[in-house]
Amino acid sequence: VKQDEVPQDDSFLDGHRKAAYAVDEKGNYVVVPSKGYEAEVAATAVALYEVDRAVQHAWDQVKRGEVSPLAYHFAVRQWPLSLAAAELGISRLRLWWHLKPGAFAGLSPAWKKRYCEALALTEAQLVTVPDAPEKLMGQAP
Amino acid sequence: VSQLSYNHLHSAHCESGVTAALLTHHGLPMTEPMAFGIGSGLFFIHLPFKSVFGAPNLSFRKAPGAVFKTLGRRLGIEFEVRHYRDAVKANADLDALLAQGTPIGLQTNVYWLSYMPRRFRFQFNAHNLVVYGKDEGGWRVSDPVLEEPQVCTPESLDRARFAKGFLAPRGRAYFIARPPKVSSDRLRTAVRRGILSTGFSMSRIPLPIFGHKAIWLLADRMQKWPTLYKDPHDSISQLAMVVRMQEEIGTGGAGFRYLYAAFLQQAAVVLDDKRYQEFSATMTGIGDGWRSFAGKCARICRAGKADVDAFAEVAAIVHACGERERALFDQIFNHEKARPRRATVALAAGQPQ
Repeated sequence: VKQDEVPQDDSFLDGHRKAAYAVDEKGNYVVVPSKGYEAEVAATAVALYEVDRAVQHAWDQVKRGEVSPLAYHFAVRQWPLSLAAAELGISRLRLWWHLKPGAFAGLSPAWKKRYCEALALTEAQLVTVPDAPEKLMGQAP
Repeated sequence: VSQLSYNHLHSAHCESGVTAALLTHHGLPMTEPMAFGIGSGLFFIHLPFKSVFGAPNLSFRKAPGAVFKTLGRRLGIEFEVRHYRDAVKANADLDALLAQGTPIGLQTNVYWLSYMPRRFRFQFNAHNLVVYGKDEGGWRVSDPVLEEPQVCTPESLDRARFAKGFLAPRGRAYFIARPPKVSSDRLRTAVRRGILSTGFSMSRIPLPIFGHKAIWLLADRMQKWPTLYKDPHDSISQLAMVVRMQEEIGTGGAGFRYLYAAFLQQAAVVLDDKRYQEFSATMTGIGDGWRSFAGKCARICRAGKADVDAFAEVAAIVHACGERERALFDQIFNHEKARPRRATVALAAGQPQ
């Protein structure tokens, strides 16, 4: 791309600009700060909607009492079950058990503390979900 | 409160940016493309199954840490790479190194970095940054992807350094132990080796998951996505992930292709070889090809339909890019291989070639 053709589209960078490589009028490469590129924004939007959908789905399930609030916290952090188990240093089987609302309600204080530390939450936040699910993109198109 | 005088370098790719900035700090002026090229950062891998996040398994670059290590080896720089099991020891070392006046490169997880824009934070374990100071608010961090230096809270940096999962950083810290001394001859040889290595791995590895063959593999599989996945949303999100890896995650545009073109241009000066200007222009053209792929994909994403013809069209662009890269890197490899070794040495001694 030419220096003046470097895309400067609105993006999710919240005002930050990233470095892009482009050629100047003499054909030499220079670094040009770029606000964003619309193709990248469109692709990222797809991924962000997907995260939102997963979070909404987990939130609904928690509200219906089908899973424990852990499912919601994992979804917000974009943790698949395997990564959540690795972060906590426990087996997936145990995690699967703790995702059941009944089992979660009966957790010992030591377990709750462990979850609080891994998820960077207070105990009050851990045992419940917010009134509305966290959204990165707002309503789906 | 301690802080080194450190010049923030705004760069496209985090690891080459960090490498270039650390070398420059220690008195060896180095640009980002040069670091990327000598470290042979450019690559293409595609594994034909999904990752744990459900994304296609592909990479436009070598494994994290490769650029710094390879460049250090090729230039004969005394560097050190450390891994840690816990944050206490890691932070004590960070303090000690800062006290000695050494800025430190760290491998981190983007999700936990408090200063990143919220929607840019996702689970990605191979982000690199430099720590160059500390004050009450936290670590002073030079994140090469952002324009200005940042402050990162100690808790979030600890989390970022000890995140788990794929490519887990395990507290990885790296720094240059002694000010490097690099002769112009050594630099020339290093550039040569970087070019040969990238040329080889892009054009001659006889496995379908590496180099240009991996690009073809991706193109073939991409074409099948609309028929493979029942839900059109699945094929679109696969495509979107390819575009994100190509454009969003610190690549300088077109999946490092523009960055590499910039390197080839600088290599033309270092090796005193006009041919590399032509290679650079070709590489830019290939980068434009990847860009047109991204543009077409964006249209598919917005339309929200997994149309077989549209996917065939973008797959054809990817395949064409793969073919052009095969031809270019094959040419580059042959050209560099044909250069007599003596010529480089003679050039260094100031004799006519």
